[in-house]
Amino acid sequence: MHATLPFLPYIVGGLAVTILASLVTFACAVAIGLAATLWMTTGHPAAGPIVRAYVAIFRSLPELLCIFLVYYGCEIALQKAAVSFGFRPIPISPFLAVTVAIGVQFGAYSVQIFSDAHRSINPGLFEAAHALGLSPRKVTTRVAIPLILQAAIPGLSNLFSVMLKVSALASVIGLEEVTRRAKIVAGSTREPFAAYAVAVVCFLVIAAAAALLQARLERSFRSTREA
Amino acid sequence: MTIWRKRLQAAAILLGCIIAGTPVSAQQQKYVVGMDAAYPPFVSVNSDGQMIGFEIDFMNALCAEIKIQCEIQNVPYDGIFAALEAGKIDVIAGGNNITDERKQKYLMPGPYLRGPLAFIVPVSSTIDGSKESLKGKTVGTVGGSVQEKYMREQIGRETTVKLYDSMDAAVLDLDAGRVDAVLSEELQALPGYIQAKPDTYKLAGKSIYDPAYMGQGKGLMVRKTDASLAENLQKGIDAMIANGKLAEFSKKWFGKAVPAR
Amino acid sequence: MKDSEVAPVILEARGITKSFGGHEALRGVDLAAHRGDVVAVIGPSGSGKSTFLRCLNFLEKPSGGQVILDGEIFAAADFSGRSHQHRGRLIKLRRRVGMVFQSFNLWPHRTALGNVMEGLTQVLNMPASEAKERAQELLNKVGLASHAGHYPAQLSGGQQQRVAIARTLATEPEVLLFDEPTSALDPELVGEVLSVIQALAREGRTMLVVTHEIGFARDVATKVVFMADGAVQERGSPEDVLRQSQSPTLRAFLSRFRQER
Repeated sequence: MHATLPFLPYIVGGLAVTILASLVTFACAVAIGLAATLWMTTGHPAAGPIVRAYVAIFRSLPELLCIFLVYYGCEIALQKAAVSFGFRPIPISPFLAVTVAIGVQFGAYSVQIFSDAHRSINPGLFEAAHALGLSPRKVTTRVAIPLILQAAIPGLSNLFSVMLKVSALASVIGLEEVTRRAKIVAGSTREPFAAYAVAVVCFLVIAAAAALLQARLERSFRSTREA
Repeated sequence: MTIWRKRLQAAAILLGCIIAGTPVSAQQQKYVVGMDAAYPPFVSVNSDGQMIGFEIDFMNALCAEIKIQCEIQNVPYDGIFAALEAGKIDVIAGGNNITDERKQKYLMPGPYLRGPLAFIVPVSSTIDGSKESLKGKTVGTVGGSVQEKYMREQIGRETTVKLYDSMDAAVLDLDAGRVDAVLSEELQALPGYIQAKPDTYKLAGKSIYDPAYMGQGKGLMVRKTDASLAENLQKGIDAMIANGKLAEFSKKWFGKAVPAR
Repeated sequence: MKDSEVAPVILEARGITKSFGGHEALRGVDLAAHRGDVVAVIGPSGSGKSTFLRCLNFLEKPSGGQVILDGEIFAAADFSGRSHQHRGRLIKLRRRVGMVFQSFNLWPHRTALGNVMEGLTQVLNMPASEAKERAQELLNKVGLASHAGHYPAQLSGGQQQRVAIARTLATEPEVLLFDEPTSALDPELVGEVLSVIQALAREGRTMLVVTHEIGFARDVATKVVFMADGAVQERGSPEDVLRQSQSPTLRAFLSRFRQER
């Protein structure tokens, strides 16, 4: 334990990366899920098949595979392209790879959360907006999106807590989040238990903070539902 | 097929442009050196998160010696070979043993260190490293390593070999009593475990200097397509052996001048 | 007054048909509302009266026929595709024809005031401060000035429907469509909503009211339309339809209705 103590700030510092990566990934997943759900509600003939295929594909892929695919696969594809078209290849950072890979993958889960949320909303609320003379775009931004988001809070909270944990997978491609730093310290100090224990506490703390936030959000929305 | 490839390339370019904004054409020679900072004293981090160790001093001096710009990155060992092949890094360092299999896939400038093997055992253990003392015992070591080879070929079937993906995992099981000894490289074992916890561990018997298992020493790894880089690195290593810098670093980090060849 | 003078026709439906799959819900419904008319549409459930009302502002796309608002023709065929031009016309039609729903359909994420303001700021593009003032006036008009800050979930059904009426009035539509405005209410709350609708009738607003409240049709309406099986069976003054008609279907409907109430 003695050897690990000086490393505390270093491991805990990885929290910033964990949280940032989770938030960016989450935003990415939410944006994809919301966009796909809204696209489906337009009744565009291609929307249903494309979104369903997307969900089916990404729900069945292991997260780690997606990360590898983006981090190594895209880098190689980029390099090939760079050679034939004569530009300097752009390195894909671990952060970018993780947010893209997990964002796109969890987008598939969020599509389901959002389309369930959408189904749970009384269609009369949209009709009322149309009947008032709101443009379809305003019906979407003023009525559909707020209501869908509100109905999706419990599902999204679950998704976020899973995402926090999945972000630890980024350690395998060297993103210096909590898990990776704990592993580095474990190797450096030969005190793996202490190092990983610190990481465990870190994750428990953010999970608790996220749960608090969820409870707070739900409470503030519930007040609009009940007298 | 070619049409497909063209399309893929076009898609990749599009992706690249999205990610980077604009293509850059200026070519700067900067090499990325990857190593996993979990193997003291070769490489680890200090409490500020800075990478330190023999390999860091060595690589910095080597890059300076051959006048190339290097950036050292902390890359998890699990993905370090994929990173080399994907071009994310140009050199793998961190204390890898030169083996024939590896040489078939990569160019391996070196050796720059050549150390013996040694058994780590609890201080109370009666194991002395001989075949007899290991009969019926369980020995842990890293899978795919020269240590594993040594166990298979020299110790034989009467000793159970348990394989781990890292030395730490093997030593954890030594703590837990699941294995009776861990076969390690002495260079790694001494400062990493023995000096760190002299009340817990000791080296069993004599170090194993059999050249067949000391391997071919430690080398860097470079893609086969980067022949000129590998050649340069080799020249730099030769120069550092000649001018005594390597010996200086090994004294600093291993407590003694370890032979490079 | 309304009966003796002939006001111009403001809203007219011509040959509206609607089929859901194989089922013909509307079989060519004609109806004309003059300015100031209060048309009560009655009939058994499944007679197509709500569907007809929803066809007038194209919440339900008619399969055939025309809606003519103040001389402008909106043909069912115009709205079958996704043309932007027609979508724009549709929005204009809806601004001029307001609708109040059976289940209120207030937006749960906005307060009573916010619900009423929506049309002012988003449809009429009124600045927020002015819209707030106007919305407050409208809430005052339906007797809910003190409930401006309440969310729909904090209001009774009758209060919600009055807010919904204020929301519809905000955009100052020339014609108001009421789709069974009191059917979802507890009996003791029906009165407060009916009296608001009655007050609007006194202002001379043009209204089409699908209702089961025969008393309301008799006392407030200027015209009564009786629908059954997707077609208009009887039409005329309340006296003609509710008292004088000899139609057996209508008589059966009215008698059953009286028993129920």
